[in-house]
Amino acid sequence: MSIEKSIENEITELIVETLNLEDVSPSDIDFDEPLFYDGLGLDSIDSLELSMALSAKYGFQLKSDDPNNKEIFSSVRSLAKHVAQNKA
Amino acid sequence: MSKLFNDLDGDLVAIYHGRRIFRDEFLVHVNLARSNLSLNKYAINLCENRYHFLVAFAACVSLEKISLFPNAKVPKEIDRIAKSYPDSRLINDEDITGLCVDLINVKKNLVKNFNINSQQTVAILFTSGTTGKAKKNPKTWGQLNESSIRVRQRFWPDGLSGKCIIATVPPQHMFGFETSIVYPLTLGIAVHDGHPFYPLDIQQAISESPDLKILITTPLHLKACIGLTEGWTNIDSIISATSPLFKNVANSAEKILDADIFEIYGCSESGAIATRQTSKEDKWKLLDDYTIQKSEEFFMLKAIGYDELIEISDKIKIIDNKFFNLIGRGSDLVKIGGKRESLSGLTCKLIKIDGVDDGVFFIPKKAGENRLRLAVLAVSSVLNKDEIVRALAQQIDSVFLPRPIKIVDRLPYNRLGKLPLNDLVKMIHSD
Repeated sequence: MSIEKSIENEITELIVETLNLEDVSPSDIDFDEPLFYDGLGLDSIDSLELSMALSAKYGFQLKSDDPNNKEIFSSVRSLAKHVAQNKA
Repeated sequence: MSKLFNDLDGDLVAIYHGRRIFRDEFLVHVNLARSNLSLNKYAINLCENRYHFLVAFAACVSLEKISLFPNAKVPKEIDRIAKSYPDSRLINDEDITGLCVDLINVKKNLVKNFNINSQQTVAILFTSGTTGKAKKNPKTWGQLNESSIRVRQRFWPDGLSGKCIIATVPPQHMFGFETSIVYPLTLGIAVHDGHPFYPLDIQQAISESPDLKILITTPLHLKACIGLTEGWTNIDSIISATSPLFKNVANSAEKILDADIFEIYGCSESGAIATRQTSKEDKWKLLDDYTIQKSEEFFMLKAIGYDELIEISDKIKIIDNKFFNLIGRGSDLVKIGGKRESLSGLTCKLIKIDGVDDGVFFIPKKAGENRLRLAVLAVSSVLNKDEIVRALAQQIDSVFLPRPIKIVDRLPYNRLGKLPLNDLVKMIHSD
């Protein structure tokens, strides 16, 4: 399994665990599905909680004015790519 | 009568796009905005940039116009307010940004401060009422001033010179409105124009000017901030509100961010009511001259500037005439991330959706240190979960959208026609 693939699996678990998505299991999450508003329907506070979990696990911080945020958070796949490039 | 801009403590007003704006320049910006806003009686201020919001609000106050603040910045809520107030106009960043020009030489004839009557209604904040209909919370200039003066006495008796507010909360809800829009006018404290969200955003906002910062935030943001253990400098003090701050989070955040953390207890009806330093005390101290009386089973607040007594929606225990303990939050009231709704109001909105036959919003479990989540059980033969969530998203802030949501054949009413929480929780978890 490639690094990104295993990070994709870790991230889906992190999302379900951190955000208490009681009616979703990690295997339900489509790696290409949008995370916010549509798709999983996460909101701004979810993104703050997810950023805390990501920084605790992978040791990097997010910033709102990063022009790539929209792309980074667009799906599990793109988030995993960003994590793979930036993890400490 | 008092001045629109009270430069009690120095004349820095804002950090705008990294630039420091002083009194005269600010008053010119307000003056320029006045000529653009003179036609309508009401203004729906939707500015995202906090300095634009401040300039627009100040211009409206000086023109005796009432600013309207929707409970949620969602299309249906804005439409509803615009329809209820036909003589209103929307104000967006584009309306203000062109006016906030960099003035190298301020023309003195454009610098004008204004006298504002204490009785003048300057804003109406909308909160969700229990029937689903928005409740109006009008504010007069006098009420906002009285509260500001008392908060200043409590937190900053030595003055606010050289200090600047940074807020992670929106300006159109009571806590963010009082602290980041009203205090800059009534107390002359400066405000940063941003709306930082992640810990690194807050650090960047802090680094944009040499002034000591007062961070206005929530327990959720503080929890995120303690995950970033380095880089915190130049914070004078931190004020948290909107949900209870846990002592362990307060202790860690005071150490890591190297600043005292105070909590404000308040509501949209009255603004700030009481304060405490969470790491050192459990009990809340009322603002000076405020009193709470028990009347039958209700606790009623007498706030300075308000003629009517205000009912406290949470459960409290009075210790003496200055202190009380908060026992529990009112069962119907939900506050998430600085936003407020009532469960019964949300339920009304749910069952009014075309295709929803019955339904209920409830809190499936105690939030503890985690964020509060709402759940929905809905009865519908034509809509699926996603369609219901999409219909709700048109009218309520996304932080209140239900998770989980489940479609059921009928709700678990008991013999008294009530919906016991235990039965709702069981039903939402059953297969």
